Amino acid sequence: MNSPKSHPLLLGALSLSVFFMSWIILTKAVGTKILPDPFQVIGEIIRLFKTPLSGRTLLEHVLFSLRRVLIAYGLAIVSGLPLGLMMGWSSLCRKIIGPIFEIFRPIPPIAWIPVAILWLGVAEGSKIYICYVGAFIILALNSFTGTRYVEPILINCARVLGANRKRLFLGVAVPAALPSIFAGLQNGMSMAWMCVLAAELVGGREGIGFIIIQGMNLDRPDMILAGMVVIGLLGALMAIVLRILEKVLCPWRRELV
Amino acid sequence: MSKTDPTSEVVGPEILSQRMGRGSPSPSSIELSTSAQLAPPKDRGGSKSGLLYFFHQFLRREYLSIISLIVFLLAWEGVCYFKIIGPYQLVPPTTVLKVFILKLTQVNPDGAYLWAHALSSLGLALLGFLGAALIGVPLGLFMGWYTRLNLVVRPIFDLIRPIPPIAWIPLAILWLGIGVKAKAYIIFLASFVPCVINSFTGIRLTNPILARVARVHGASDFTVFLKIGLPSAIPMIFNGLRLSLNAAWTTLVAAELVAASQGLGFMIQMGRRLARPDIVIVGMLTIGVLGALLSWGLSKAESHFVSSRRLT
Repeated sequence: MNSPKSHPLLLGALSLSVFFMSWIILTKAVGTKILPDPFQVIGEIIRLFKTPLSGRTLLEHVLFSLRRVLIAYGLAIVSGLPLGLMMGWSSLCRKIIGPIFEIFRPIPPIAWIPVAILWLGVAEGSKIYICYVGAFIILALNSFTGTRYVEPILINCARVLGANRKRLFLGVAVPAALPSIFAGLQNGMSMAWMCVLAAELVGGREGIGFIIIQGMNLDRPDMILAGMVVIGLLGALMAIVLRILEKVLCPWRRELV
Repeated sequence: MSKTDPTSEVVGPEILSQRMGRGSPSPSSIELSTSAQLAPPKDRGGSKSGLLYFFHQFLRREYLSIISLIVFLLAWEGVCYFKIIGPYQLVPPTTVLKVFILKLTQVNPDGAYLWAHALSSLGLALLGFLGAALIGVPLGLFMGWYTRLNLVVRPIFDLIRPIPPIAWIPLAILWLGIGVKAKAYIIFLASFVPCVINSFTGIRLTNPILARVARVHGASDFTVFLKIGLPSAIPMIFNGLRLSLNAAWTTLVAAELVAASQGLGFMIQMGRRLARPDIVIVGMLTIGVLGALLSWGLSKAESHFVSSRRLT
């Protein structure tokens, strides 16, 4: 564990340049038809911004995907958080809703895609539904564990000081559960983002997932990689926004490492 | 303390019944518990009547779970029976059970038995998962222990990490075809990331005092890593493995939905194409049950492993 404090940036830059160099060398070896080099990928992103793919530019495709994710995410927050809090706080709710929740929990949201298409068609409804399921389960689960495992000392203290149940819940349990809830908000967002991709891969005429599946169908790896880069950037951006929000709203969260 | 409990019990159900829009349950019939109330000494420390009370409540709450499940299944059956949702959208639970049993001995309509689909999916998921665990866990541990390695690998890792594994599916299919290789590759990617991150975090949480004590007694850096860093990282490693297994299973289903010729994901996709909700729901539930079984198996392995560690 002898830590070289001297050149952390240099090492990082070195490793990244080695990565891109080997990418370019690999491209030379296997040909651009299989693996396009980084410059081609950037060129393809710019091209997709300018020339529409099946009637829409890259920006419009991105907005389509974002709209689906945000609608589903909003719905999941409105329904999943209260459900989780209720299940965590009252054993009556836990006993009634718990078993039904447990049936659906282990089913990956992506496995809902065929059913969602049967129920809601291939249009917006099914895609929003799938993202909703993904985010909902994570949000409910995290707010549940957050309120369920509040430190007993905190609850007992507040009770000794004369708090009634309402104040115990709003003043102690919810703030104590907030770190866990925020973790759920982050995981739920990345899950929703993943689900929208999967839904668009399986069936869709627009969205960022459509771009990469179209790249596959047209045998255009540069288009796929361009889509992947945009997906990664957007995912990272959303994570950053949520992290900043968390720092503002929930400063008492303890950081691991 | 035991005196404050009943009062909160009295207040609780009223709030709850308002929230749930129910009638007024008598306060004594429903126990609300927070984690604080579940602390063992309080429940068992009371008089004999307190114990009986607790037992009574316990029974009552278990009943509630069973009743809620039965109501759920009856509602599902009813929705189908009265054709509120048509037979091409949803089939009742009794049909699901029937089709499940039928699918074990019948290849129609998707060309393979249910268990054949399940075995092919399980095999693939485990292949990708084990590969990722064998490479990802040591990589994460070494990254956590040797700062220089971390500085080199980190930037590349962070570059690739925000891309969801599902976004790799088209590229993998283009490169490796729709067979086993592409799926194993995607599953490997999906389960690789949680393995690395959690092992990294786990070994970083090693108590530095223990490491220093060992070093003072003349242990080499690698011995300290092996004897102190590794054992203390085990809970986090298992945490990562659990997340990995989940990711592997989810990604596998996605890959099979997009392109496959067998597997549970393929089966539910075929069910959708043929407008057979029974096949789809049977497949979905099988996926859920197998996923739950996988994580159950892992937690069994964990408890075995961790407890045997602790004894030595």
